Amino acid sequence: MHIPDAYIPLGQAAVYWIIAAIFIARSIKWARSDLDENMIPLFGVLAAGMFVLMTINIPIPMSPVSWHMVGAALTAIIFASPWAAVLLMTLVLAVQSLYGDGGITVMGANIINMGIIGGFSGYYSYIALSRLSLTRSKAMFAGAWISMILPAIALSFEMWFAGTFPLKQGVFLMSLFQGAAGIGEGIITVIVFGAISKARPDIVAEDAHKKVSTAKVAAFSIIALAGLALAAPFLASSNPDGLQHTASTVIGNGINSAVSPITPLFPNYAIPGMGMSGKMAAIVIGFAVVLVIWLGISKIIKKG
Amino acid sequence: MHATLTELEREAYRKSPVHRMDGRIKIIMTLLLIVYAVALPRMEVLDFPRLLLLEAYLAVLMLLARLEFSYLTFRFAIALPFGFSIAFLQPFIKQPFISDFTVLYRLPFGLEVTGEGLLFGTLIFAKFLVCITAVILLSSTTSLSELVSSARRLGMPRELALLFTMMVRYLFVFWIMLGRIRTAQKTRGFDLWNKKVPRRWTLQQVGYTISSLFIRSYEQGERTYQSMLCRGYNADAQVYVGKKKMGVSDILVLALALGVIIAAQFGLKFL
Repeated sequence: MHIPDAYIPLGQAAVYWIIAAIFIARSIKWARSDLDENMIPLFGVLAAGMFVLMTINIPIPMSPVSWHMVGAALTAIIFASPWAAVLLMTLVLAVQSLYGDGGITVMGANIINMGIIGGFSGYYSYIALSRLSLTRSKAMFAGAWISMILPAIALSFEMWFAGTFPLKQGVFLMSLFQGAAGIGEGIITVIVFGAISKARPDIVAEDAHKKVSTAKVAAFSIIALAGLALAAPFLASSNPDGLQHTASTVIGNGINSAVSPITPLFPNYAIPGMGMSGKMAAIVIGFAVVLVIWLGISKIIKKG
Repeated sequence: MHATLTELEREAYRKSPVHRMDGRIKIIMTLLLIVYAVALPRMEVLDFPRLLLLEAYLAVLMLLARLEFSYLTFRFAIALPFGFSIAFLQPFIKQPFISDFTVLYRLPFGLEVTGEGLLFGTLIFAKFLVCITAVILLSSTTSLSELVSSARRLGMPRELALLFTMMVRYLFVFWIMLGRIRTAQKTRGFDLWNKKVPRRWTLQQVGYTISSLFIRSYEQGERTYQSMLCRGYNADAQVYVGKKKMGVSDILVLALALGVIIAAQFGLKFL
């Protein structure tokens, strides 16, 4: 999961560093002002503990391999802020890079993947899912799993921009690996959170979870889903999908010329004549329509 | 992966000319070499002698530092695999930034080894090797606290410096604490891969280890913070770093590193 030096060209690495630096500055500001007291020394000590507990091997369920924890979702949930994850992951990744785990020039990209994307997606998906009346542990497991899979997808895109790995294979391999590791991460996150809230309930800022406004959670979910929607067309294959392919082999070529009773609004999931941006626009429009319908249905159900 | 934490600090406290060098010089030199290696064009055969020159310079410094051979091989062995496996795949991949490929070999399943991919793959691995060598040299000749105070002298922001100072101070405390937990578990016959106990139970034990470490480090942080408050710590506090003058030899070493880079960039063309 840690990109090494030289695998991303210097220009792109610099862009990632600039984005990461903005987030790091904001996370320090969070540690200084948003907490009750000045927590900076405490976070330094905690980062040392996090570094050490990331060396503990966790067996991945149903497989003979082990992986170590990342902990972005866990810290974000415990301190009720994704900025905690950004700050702790930055410190840990900086020291890890000295051990040859992740590069120096690409540290910005690594911070973006594991700290920023991992922390924000883990935290807000946990809040969103527990708002959708999922039990706490299920929502936390899902949040931790998402905080592993989204960085994997982001990493595949970064390697693709860099020209070092083809996109589809990268997404497939990384999601397969991180998806399995995410199961371990999810289980461990639930266990650790449970143990900490039992032993030191004052550390866990659980009241703060309820204070997060639904609008904010919805906004973050929409940003994340829109990001995925924008990424999806690059992954889509222009070959016919399984159902279409089977149908065309069974019926012969007739299926393509068969007259459909309804003219599709976006044939082949794209707005005609707009190329790749047409595909992206079609997905965003479709996504917005589904969201509106879904919100409508849930309103009706709640009233009933 | 981090079995080296204590070995690393042991190596960093050896005595040699490289260990005695100013930490600032070592940081600047490492960054210069890494940025230069990464910035080299991605498809140029001339890059190989350039990288070889950088690697040779780093190897000389490693010899001067008298680092243990078995320690170095271990450091390289744990750092290289991920980078190597990506570099190894390059000849089979059609890189998007290359327009035409010359196929060297055809393998079954439609795999093709391309000359351009081979060049790109070996070049990226050579660059990666130089970067890793530079990082290993830096981290095994400079102690972590020296690194942080040097970074502070180089103008690292006050709060980040405080965070790193605290982190480096307690890293080994928790490392030893984890060691004790592991020993205690081992004496009770705990094994991660024991098939006679349910996997669920094993996961739970690992989870408790992690929670205990988390809570202990949090409580250590609280105690440290309280005692800092008692000694008058407030938000405007600074980490004290004494002034240190750079010696002539330090500046000479930096000049030498710059000379190596300049020689690699411009000198090799005339050979």
